[in-house]
Amino acid sequence: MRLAGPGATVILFGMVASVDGLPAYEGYIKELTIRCPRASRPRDFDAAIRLCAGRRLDVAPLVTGRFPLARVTEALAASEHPEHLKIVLNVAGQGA
Amino acid sequence: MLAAVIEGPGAVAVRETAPPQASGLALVRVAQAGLCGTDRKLAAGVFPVTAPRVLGHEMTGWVEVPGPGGAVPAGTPVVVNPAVFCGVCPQCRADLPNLCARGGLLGRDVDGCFAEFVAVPESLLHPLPASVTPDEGALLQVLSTCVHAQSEVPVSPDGSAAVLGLGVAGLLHVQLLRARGVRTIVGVTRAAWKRDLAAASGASVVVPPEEAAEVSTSRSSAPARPPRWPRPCGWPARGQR
Repeated sequence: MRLAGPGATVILFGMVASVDGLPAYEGYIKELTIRCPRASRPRDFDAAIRLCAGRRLDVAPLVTGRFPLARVTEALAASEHPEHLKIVLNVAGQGA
Repeated sequence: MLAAVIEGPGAVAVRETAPPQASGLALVRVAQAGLCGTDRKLAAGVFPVTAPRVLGHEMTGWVEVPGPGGAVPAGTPVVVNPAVFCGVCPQCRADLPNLCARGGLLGRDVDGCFAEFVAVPESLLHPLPASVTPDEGALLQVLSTCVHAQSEVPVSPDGSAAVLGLGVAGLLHVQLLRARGVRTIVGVTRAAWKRDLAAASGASVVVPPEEAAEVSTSRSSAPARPPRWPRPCGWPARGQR
């Protein structure tokens, strides 16, 4: 909220349990819009598919690890490490 | 079938379970599933869940048995929307199925996709074109949440944005902002190794948190101060009072 300019929108993305010290007065002075989006709608999936299919985004480099389903506990532990972005479980042996 | 099952707080076991019943639902053979922080918290017992529960909510696969409507035929590659919705409550009728009063999340409220098969309402199936690769498919669920987050936020090429935190979602937000035409995007992260990735994703500049305020102020196209109050509507112009 402190980085935001007048009239800006601030998105609290993901499951944010609480925000200590929320600068509410700054939000008032700048008349900020605060959004707390939850999950997504079917049309958001359709848009995401179009963006990838149309090569408008390059998301594949964000997959940094693959594990077979049988090693899920190892995969869960690895996903906590900061060097990983998205970890994928190969369930049907795709891309192993 | 093989499945990763939450058996209690902090206890996840990979074991043989009975395949789900497809009655009234579509049965999907899971190709791959993505892990996210929600899965970790469910597995650790941070988020409550009724055990036993098959974990997992990000997935792609193929329709094994179509749903009762037959809208998506057998063999179709799909991504599954994990946000179960009823389709008839006021929120669903207002095109807000993500806020469905009777809804739930795959892998938390109903059995999920860390398994060879998952049964879901056919309304959750989204066919995948052949041009979407498996790695892209793995990111579609997260990307859809980023699309939703930005969906009501107007942007312009002359505007600017700051993305705080450059994990998977943060980097997708950067890419999405760039795809929407925003030219000035400030990425903020403590991780030096993510800077090149963020730049390749479209960030104009990537800085650690302690430098974010200075960079954001200098790069912002927003006025430094709010504009002066305009003359109230109906106020007579000078010379007419």
